[in-house]
Amino acid sequence: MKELQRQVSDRYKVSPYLVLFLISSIQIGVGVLGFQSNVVNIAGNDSWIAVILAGLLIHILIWIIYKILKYGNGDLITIHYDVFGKWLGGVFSFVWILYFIGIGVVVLRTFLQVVQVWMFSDINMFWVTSVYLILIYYLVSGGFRVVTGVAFLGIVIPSYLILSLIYTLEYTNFNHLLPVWNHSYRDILSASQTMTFSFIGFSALLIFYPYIKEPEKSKVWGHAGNLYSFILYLIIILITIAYFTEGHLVRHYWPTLTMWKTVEMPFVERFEYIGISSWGLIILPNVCLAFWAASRGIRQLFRFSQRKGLILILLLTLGANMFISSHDQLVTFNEYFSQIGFYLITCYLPFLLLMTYFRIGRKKKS
Amino acid sequence: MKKALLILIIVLLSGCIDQRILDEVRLTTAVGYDPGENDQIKVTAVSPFFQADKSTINETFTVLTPLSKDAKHKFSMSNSKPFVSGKIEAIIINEELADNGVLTIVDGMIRDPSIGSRAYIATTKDEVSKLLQGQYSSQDNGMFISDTLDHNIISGSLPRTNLHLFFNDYYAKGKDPFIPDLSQDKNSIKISGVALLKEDQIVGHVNQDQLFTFKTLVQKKTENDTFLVDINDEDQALLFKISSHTDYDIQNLNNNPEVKVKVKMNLTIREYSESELNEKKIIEIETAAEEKFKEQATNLIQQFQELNVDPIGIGQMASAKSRQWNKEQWYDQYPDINFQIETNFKITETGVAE
Amino acid sequence: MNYELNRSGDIMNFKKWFFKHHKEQNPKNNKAEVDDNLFDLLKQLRGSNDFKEVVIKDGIKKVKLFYFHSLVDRKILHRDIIPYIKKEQVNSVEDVREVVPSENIETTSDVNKIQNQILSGSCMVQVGENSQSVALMRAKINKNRNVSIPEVEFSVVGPKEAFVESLDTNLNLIRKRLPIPELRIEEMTVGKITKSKVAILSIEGITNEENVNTLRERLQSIEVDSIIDSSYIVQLISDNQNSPFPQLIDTERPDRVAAILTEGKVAFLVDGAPHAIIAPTTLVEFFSAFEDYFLNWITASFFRLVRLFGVFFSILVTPLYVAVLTYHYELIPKDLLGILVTSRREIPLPPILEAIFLELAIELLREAGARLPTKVGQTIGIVGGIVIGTASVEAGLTSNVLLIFVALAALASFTTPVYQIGNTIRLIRFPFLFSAHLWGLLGVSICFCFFMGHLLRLTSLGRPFLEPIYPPRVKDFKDAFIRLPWTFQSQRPVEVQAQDTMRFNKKKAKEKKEIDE
Repeated sequence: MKELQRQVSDRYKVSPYLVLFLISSIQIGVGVLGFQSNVVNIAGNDSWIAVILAGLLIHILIWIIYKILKYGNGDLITIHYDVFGKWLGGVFSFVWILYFIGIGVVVLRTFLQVVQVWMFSDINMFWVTSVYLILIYYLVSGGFRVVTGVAFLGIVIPSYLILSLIYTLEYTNFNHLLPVWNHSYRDILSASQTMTFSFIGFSALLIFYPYIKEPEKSKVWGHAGNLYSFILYLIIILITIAYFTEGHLVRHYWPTLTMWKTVEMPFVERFEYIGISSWGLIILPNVCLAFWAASRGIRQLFRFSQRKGLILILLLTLGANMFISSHDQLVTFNEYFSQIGFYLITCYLPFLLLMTYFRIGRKKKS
Repeated sequence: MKKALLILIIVLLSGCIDQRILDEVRLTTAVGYDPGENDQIKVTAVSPFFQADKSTINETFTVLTPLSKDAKHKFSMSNSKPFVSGKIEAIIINEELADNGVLTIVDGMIRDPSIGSRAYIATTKDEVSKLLQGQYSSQDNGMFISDTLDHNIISGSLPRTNLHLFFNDYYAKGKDPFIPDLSQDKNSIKISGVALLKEDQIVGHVNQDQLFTFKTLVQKKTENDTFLVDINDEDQALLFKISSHTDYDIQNLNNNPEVKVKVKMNLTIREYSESELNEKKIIEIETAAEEKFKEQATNLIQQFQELNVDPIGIGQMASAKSRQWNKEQWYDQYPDINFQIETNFKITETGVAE
Repeated sequence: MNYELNRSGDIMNFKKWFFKHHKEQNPKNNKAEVDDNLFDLLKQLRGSNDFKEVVIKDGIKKVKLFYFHSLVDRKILHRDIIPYIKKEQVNSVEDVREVVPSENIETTSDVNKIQNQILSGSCMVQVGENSQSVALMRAKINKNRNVSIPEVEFSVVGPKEAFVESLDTNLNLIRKRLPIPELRIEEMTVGKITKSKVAILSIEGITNEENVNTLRERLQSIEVDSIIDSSYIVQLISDNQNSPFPQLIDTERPDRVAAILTEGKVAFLVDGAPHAIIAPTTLVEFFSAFEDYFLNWITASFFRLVRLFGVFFSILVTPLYVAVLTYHYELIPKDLLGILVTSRREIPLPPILEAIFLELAIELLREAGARLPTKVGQTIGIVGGIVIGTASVEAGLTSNVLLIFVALAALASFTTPVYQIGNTIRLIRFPFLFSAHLWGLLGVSICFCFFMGHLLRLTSLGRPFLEPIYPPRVKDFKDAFIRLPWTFQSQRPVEVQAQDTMRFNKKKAKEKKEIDE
């Protein structure tokens, strides 16, 4: 039995500016490959407005999270403990831990689905999942510094992929964006709700906050990280709308990959295979950070070894990955999960802020 | 040590996935579809047979099948190597078959991730299996057709087209697709024009000598093409297009639409039948070119309106301007729209000699 | 910044699952500890035939000289010691000190010390038969290789001195380059049997004491009984001993050692080893040749980038060939298809076997070349390469395209300036190759992630190994992939956390001349 840890030793902490990479790396994942068709399905050529709205919403939520953490002075688990007490707080914490595990499962499973559909239809799901889980175990057991390192390299190394978008400009027609705002408010709002699913991972901040040196300073970096991924999503949706006509776009599950098909260089064609392989690195920070947060949560909540918690999560993921066996199941799972995630971050977080303020923040001030 | 052991275990236990080693598959570079007997489809696949002396022999395989997708399986049954579709460069459909709808044939292509979106889709009046059988060059016919279309798009009169653009146009509201029309010409393949599609059925054609105008109309910016102009029924001038810019201005969108087509073009004189060339002559050539272009453009647009097809995408442009735009209503109006063509041609160079 | 030092924790855990834990066995104590008695020591030493015992003077008090003739310079003995003792009256050990005109004399009765000294080349004078106190004089024979040209880290320009096997000479080579009182040399012995002398070098006021302390602790904790070369120590004190990556740089250039000491790093030398070991280090440092600093910064930066490209090319080109040809034929541009298919047309082996065959052939050539005398080795390399390459293409075992790739990859891997990392690159190509065969490009990507994770976890003397890439330190990029001009190098690398971070005043160095003034 371990103690609830409220302070983290300085040697495990990371510099505040790395929060930029932590936030944006967990937001840029499998979503980038296929978020367009979901959004365009609802909001058509106005989808980019939905992306902007979702991005702004996340900025507000990040602000809320920083407020909660400032009043609560700790991580999500200690705040739950302090605000709601041992049992109720424990239940809430448990939900969040499940949610973090869910993020990891969704990301990994969706990526492997892409691999299965586009590259190797007969790949052995069990083995490729296992190899990924071993990799994740190896990385996460290196501690938060290594996870941050993965987040950093997971943004920096694949950034060359942005250049590949230049090749798609050949086929773009930005008239597709016109007329602006020919969809109803409802459509656009519901599209931005769909969109938030891609941004969802940033809530890991609730757990890794104590691991930041001078966490107050990291605020601006947190927002910068969100801004980076938000602009990236915006550029991609703009190019996608211009590249496809609407009816064509919604026929594709993964428009980004389809767009890569037109990339042609003297030494390589059909860039989507390179893209998918590079995505193997991009999803890594998503999963690592989510599982790190979940295992850290388990360590704090159940007070047992984070390493054992991690192994438990990985086994659970392996089971879940084997269980979801078809594309339809995956889509259903994604839908349910995004619904839960959406309400968790948009409704629960403001609620938690109020509770934290009244239970802890106000006392502190007086 | 740990890693090595794990990797070894995985290698031993999982085995490998289905390999597609480059020289152990039959690369298909072109597929052709002909109508067969009993409502079946005759599918022809072209595969290069690379010789040791770096030349390539064109090999074709033909099967009859009720479903176009089933063909791959049937091909592989009668060959020593499995057929793969990842390198298909050209999809050619016989026009007779296209009457039943192109989409039933190519719909599988949108689902198959291994097919590139730069592949060409074309049609022909000739029998496709015969067209694909000839040895036209030191390449196989998939590469040959793809290269022929490629360079005609870059510097020729063929407007940009490929599988991606075909699907884009097909699914677009207010635009109709077109695909190149090929024909066999003695010992070669010739681009004989462009086939116009309504939905996924061929309804009309644009001839080769109209392609210059067609490309200029369809594509906003074009370059590198030649245009032969008769002046006063005696002289002829061969003009080279450096660049063109086409703008559509749609007015009065809601009740009685009018479309202004503005074409700006920079040209040079490549050949002139007379030896002397002065400023006056140049203006003469310019006017002649403009007139010929206008005439052709008016004819083309009239043809489109008669067929009620919109390869230019006027409807798409209109839809970008109005929130109330409606597809059915638009196609009702379309045949009666008044087009005005304004041209502004400039001959900027006359070559290096006086 | 400190990294978590759980060096082999994971491995131990893993082993626990699979293997029975062996009980630590203590080696039987060698007779390292000497009996207190001088008599016993002498008795033991007499067991060796090269131990000499000469009576110089017979009298009331016998004066006896003891030494190993294999360790002692007889010239010194006959010129500087024996004549003086014979000439003068010697009644006690103190007298010996008086009569012999040398500063290297000490009197002691400490048996341990006597043993050590005799065994390291001193001679012992005993006055009187059973006296416990003796005089020890250094008469060590100096038979060393002369300082010669560096062979592994050869540079066209710059100094041409390399370390030799003598610690004193090596220290001299460094100290003459750093004539400052702050240069601190700390000696210790390591290894129960070999008693190897190790000297830690650092500069007071610049080097971070933490680095020196960590190094000292690690050296002290070495348990292995015989240290024949510095490379033993490198393997023993590395942060992660189960890594294919070297975590300490060894160099044979005294100028390089002097330069890194001024940067705030620590170095150590081992007696009998012609290499100095530098710590802490980073991955990037392994790809910088010291010659880079002798060249103009633009050229130097270009060469560094070429080398870096060489490394990636060398690791990835064959795996990518295997991945693309086995799974991803779609990626090949249509104009290249013909070339690739024709080159592989008659080859019965799948790409992986073809690649392994060629890689192994190259490895064999390298290994044979390394084990043979230089001249023969070169011949083997060239003849073997040409003959085997041509023959295997003609026999239809390998394709000529792959032959070109493998040969280029081998060439590229020779560009690494540090020998150890060159070996690593040779090795890590194989996991990439196998994973490429298994899952194509995805396999390459997964394998890359494993190595990335491994490098992220690695530390060198507790400092992050991947710095300045991660943790990202923009300041240290001035001397990483490219080398900026000297005026930009005014700060010591952040990596070493030096006490004094400034090397010189940047402003003064950067002051620009006014035009025509």
